[in-house]
Amino acid sequence: MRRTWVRELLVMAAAAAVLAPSGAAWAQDKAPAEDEQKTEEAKAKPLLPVAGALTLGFGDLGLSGNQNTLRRYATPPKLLFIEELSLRSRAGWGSGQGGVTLRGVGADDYSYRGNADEMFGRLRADAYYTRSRYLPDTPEPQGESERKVSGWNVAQRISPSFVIASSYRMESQTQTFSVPRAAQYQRSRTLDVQAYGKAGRGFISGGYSSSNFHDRTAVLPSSTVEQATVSYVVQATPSVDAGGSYSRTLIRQGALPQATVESAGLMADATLGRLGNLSLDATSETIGNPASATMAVTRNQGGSARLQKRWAHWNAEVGLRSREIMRLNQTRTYVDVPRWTTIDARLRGLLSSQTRITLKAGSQWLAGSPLAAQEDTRSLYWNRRTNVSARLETCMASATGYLASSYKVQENAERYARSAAGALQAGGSLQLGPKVVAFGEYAYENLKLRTEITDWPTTAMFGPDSQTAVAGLSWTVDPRMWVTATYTDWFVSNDNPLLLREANIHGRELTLTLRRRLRDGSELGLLVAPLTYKDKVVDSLDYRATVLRLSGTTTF
Amino acid sequence: MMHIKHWLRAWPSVAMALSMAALAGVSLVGQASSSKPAAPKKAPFPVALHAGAAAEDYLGEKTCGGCHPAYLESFEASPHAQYVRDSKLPVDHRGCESCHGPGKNHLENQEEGELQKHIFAPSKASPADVNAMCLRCHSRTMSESHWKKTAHARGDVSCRSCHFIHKDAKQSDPAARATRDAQSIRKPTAVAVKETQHLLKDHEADLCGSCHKADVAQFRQPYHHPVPEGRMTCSDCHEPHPTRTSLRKGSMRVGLKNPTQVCATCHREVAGPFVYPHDPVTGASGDGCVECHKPHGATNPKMLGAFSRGLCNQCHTDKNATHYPGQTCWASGCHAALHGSNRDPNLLVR
Repeated sequence: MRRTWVRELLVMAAAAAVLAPSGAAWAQDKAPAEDEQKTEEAKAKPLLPVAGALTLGFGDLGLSGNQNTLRRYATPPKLLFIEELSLRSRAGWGSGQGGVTLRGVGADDYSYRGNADEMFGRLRADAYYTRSRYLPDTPEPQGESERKVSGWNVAQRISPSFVIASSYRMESQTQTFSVPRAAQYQRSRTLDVQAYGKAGRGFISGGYSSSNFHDRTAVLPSSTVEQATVSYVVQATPSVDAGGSYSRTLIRQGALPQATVESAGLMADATLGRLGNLSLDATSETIGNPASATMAVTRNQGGSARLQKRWAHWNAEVGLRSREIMRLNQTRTYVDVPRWTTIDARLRGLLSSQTRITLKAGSQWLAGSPLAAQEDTRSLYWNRRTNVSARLETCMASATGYLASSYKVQENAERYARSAAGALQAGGSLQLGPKVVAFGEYAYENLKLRTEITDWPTTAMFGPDSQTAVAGLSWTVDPRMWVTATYTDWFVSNDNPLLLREANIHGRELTLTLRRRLRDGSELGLLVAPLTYKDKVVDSLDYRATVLRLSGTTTF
Repeated sequence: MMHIKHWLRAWPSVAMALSMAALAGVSLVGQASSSKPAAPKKAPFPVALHAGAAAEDYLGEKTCGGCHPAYLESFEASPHAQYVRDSKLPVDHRGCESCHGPGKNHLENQEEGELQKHIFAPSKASPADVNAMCLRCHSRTMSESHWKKTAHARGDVSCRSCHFIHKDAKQSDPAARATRDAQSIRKPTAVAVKETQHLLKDHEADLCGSCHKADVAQFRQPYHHPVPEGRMTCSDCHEPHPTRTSLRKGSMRVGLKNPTQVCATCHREVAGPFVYPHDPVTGASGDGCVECHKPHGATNPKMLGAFSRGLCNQCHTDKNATHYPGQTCWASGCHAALHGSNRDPNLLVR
């Protein structure tokens, strides 16, 4: 009770803090001469070599219910924290520029980044470090999960058109799960060295990457992946581009034998005059994975051809793609070679100067369905896929709108299995007045499943339907104050025969923001976001929160 | 005999190699058969402005600023300004004229209808012309041949569609900011968000979402990759400039991506290789990870297309209602190693 009272007081104080200077500011808006005078004075002051901005924030979650669900991706900040501190060198000082940006200092989630460009951009470097804390969305309390990502990138231009670059990235994760699954502590590191740029009439790139994975709980074996790549693309004639690439990858994993993957690709692109533009691609991959004790793919190759034709405001494309793999069975006694052939087409153009339409369709067939290495040897692969989609967009002076729809069907005739996914999205924005813009979006998704399983629970019972609706409004009260409101409502429905959690859920999120810019360029902000999450089966996952944020920004 | 069989199996590569050899042959023969000496390649319009210019045709930034003070001021605030002031650069890569072309002809041809012929105005140019001008300097980011291969090039998207050249005044305009904030997929409750880089016109997710609206709708679903929370951006998985090859980005092949490799950047624990892999995880058959997962957003926590047994039963139809009825395949603790196992062919233990 007392907490609610305190929160209401806080919201009122925050609103007052944001609005209080506005009355004075409106009065000052009527005296532009004074503003201009101040601007002139500011211009006269010598500029510091460094420009910056500092945003201080105060946050509160106002949470009742399950915090795991609220914090499943990120943790909103609480109490006092630095929302952002950025320092940038001003252009015109020396031969370089750079800066640092710190976000979320003092909060659970934070991100730091620094970058420097020297010698007018011939040397570029940046480094970053981010940490996120989150929780597994389980009904019972769990320990925190954490993900830390750090790394750097350096690029040195050694000639106007040739660069040597290197990057390093380390990611460490601590993940907690529901009992009985043990927590997982893992770390992966990747080092890249690349050289790329113009060579002759073409562009060459080559590099070496090494990536290492380590599981500190020793549940999974440590692994190292090393890859060397080289590619060259050349404009052979003004109308023909051609190129090729090659890569060799070595995978080492504990005591298992080393796996090798070799990949080569060729591409060509030709302008055929009135016929349009023709693109060709071919790739071939040889996979040596002696560790595999079950079915193994030893070769993967494919090719594609795509013809594109343009008219005044129309663009049409037709593509043919073929891919086949060579699979060695578990006992290494025979191979099968499934082959996928795909045809797709796309038409895009203007119905009028303000309306654009895009139509896409594609179909894929599988020939040589492989036998499954199980008691039931019927193929497990989809042998037919079809997809169609359409999008209509319009853009007028005071309104924009779009309507998009897609439908995808997959079938496995041998097992009488069929999956049909449909989606519809519609949205748009409307200028309601010189200062007010409204926005809305609606999305619907549906999945229909059918298999030979006719006993309860049938496969069809696990296909979800979902709807998401968003409505937003932005109001520029005056040139120094603006308000936004966004409401999102989503729900997922499911027959849910096993009464699983997170299968029938409903969420509502309202976000209200108020921003006020002061005469000296400082800014005050207020954010109030009531959020609710409701699981219709397991109500211990529910939460209700009113996220509050008050922030103030000053620049220097 | 074995060789013949091998080449027959490799028909897509063989067909491709033959097609490319034919294309190259046709173009070379075309060039060689011409009795006249080869004419120099004509540069596209904006690049041609530089090609025919002498050093005295470049007037310098101050002259441009005399008539266009507002543009000069907004350019001052852009990082581009820094790079074109290197005195070691050739004169056609310095100041305003590095992008707009030499100013002398523009100054001398002020008549109506003549202006655009002698200066390059990106806001009024075609996407192809804009890209040609940007690639004069940014060829290390993207070669023209690479650019042609992208879906963005085929869709007439220009560099300016995503990047600003001068400082974008709309960045700080209150009305534009308010509209952007109201429509954004980013959750303002998160603060540790990735910074907008590379002179992008907006936060990456909102910028990409301004065209890819169906994908934005998926990110609004209750379970998604944490793009709205700012922990990820689109370019963590997608490569808009496929010039370089990199293990981390997974672009082993020019203009193509290996989806499984991209996912393994963060989800190494499920990438294998395993002694007993689950077939889709190898990425060689089907669509790899996206055979089961919906990477942008979905209706369940693991971002799967369907719930529980409904997902597995789409392929494993023989594991019907008599196979442990009432249980999920993995959450009940049975197939705990469903991505692959090093110890159990039925993927029961890791």
